Amino acid sequence: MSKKPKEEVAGGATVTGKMHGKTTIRARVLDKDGNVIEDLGVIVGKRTKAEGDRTRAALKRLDKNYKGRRDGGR
Amino acid sequence: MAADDVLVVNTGRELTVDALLALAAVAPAWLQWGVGSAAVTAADTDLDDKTGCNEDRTDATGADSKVANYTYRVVGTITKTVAGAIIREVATFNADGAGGPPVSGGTMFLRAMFDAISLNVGNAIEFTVDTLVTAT
Repeated sequence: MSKKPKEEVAGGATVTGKMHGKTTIRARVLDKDGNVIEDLGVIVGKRTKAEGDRTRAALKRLDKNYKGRRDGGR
Repeated sequence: MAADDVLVVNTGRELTVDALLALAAVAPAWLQWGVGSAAVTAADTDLDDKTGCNEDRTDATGADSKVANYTYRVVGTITKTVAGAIIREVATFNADGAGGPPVSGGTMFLRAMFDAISLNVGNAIEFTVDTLVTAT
């Protein structure tokens, strides 16, 4: 037989309600003048396959133009 | 006797978002990025790896807002100032941090990882971080 939880003892009561946070992050890459170079869309969170494909394509373009590994980003 | 039942109701969810916004200067709206790839856990208190990430945290405390009643939104831009680091994670904190660079301190609100973003010096990422408060 299971024991009654302490919360049911007279003189005290605890009510537990759940609450969650679901996070979605969108990202855009800007140049030094604030112009959008790439709109990456949703990079964290739920997305459609088409949205995921667009993000991956944009990341590939950024990587292709990345100067870091060739000249240290200068 | 009715069956046990409890729910954080919609007005309670909205109140949570309002409470975050009411924190004003200490709202969890300070953005910082990193290069780490360790899985996100509930016990995290900082970014996984900030090597080469000497950029200050971005103050988005004036740019946080409530969206569709139950979503806490933070919009902030971090500009790359140091070559070499490939950005793989971002976190929000309730303070600008100290020390460094890279800075540390404050309380982390969330940490997220994503596919690597190769960014040249002078370029920036504008993050829009939406946290939907749900009851289930």
